[in-house]
Amino acid sequence: MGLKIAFYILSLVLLGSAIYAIQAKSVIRSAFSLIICFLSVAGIFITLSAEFLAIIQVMVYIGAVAVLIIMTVMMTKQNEAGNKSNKLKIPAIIGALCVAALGCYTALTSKFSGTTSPIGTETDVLGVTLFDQSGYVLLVIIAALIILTAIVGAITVAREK
Amino acid sequence: MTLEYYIILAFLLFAIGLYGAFSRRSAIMIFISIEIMLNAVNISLVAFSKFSAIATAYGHIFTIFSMVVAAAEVTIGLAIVLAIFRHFEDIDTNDINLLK
Repeated sequence: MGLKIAFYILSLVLLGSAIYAIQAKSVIRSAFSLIICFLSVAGIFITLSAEFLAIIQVMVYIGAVAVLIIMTVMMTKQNEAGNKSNKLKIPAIIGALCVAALGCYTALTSKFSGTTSPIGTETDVLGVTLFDQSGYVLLVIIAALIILTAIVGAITVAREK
Repeated sequence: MTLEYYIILAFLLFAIGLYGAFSRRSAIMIFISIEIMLNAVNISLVAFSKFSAIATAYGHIFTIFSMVVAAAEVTIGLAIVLAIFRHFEDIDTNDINLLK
């Protein structure tokens, strides 16, 4: 019961802040609304008993991505330019409604073969799955290389000549 | 709570992000929409992992790598946006047509 109430409140905040982030008049307001959106996604992760991912979500998305977006908004003078939309507005609405309708139809009519009573995943299960003998150590190293390449590339592209 | 609620939530969030990515002109707004879509996909991955028959963490591992790639993507993308702003004094995607 408590889980259900938490899920409904979090989904309302999530969808509302996402719509405001798309529709806000100024770009800096949508960047701050994006922070609320990320926070409620972290709450949704907690209702799915993924506490580690919720913490990572707050650290990576709010601590890095949102701050980066806000800094870029300030550096590119977007605040006075306003949030204009292009000529694709009505086709975009139709396309998004088609995706949402297709998704709802698929989710409501498919037979999911999993359990109906949810099983939680503890954080130690996640750690053992990542780092044991037949685990994903190579993928962790590749992820570190991706981050390193991204940092070097970002410095190279954004540097003052 | 069943799996369907989370899948429908993820699809609605994805649709909002899709609408934003198609209809906005500022490059930063397109980035914000892409981040919303990536979060929707992460929600669906974690939900499928939680409601699977055996208690595994494979969906969580997928989500961690998706977050890594999203962080790298937003770093590179915003650096490109800054470089474009230095060159054109504007980041309106309707006015940037160097490759046309």
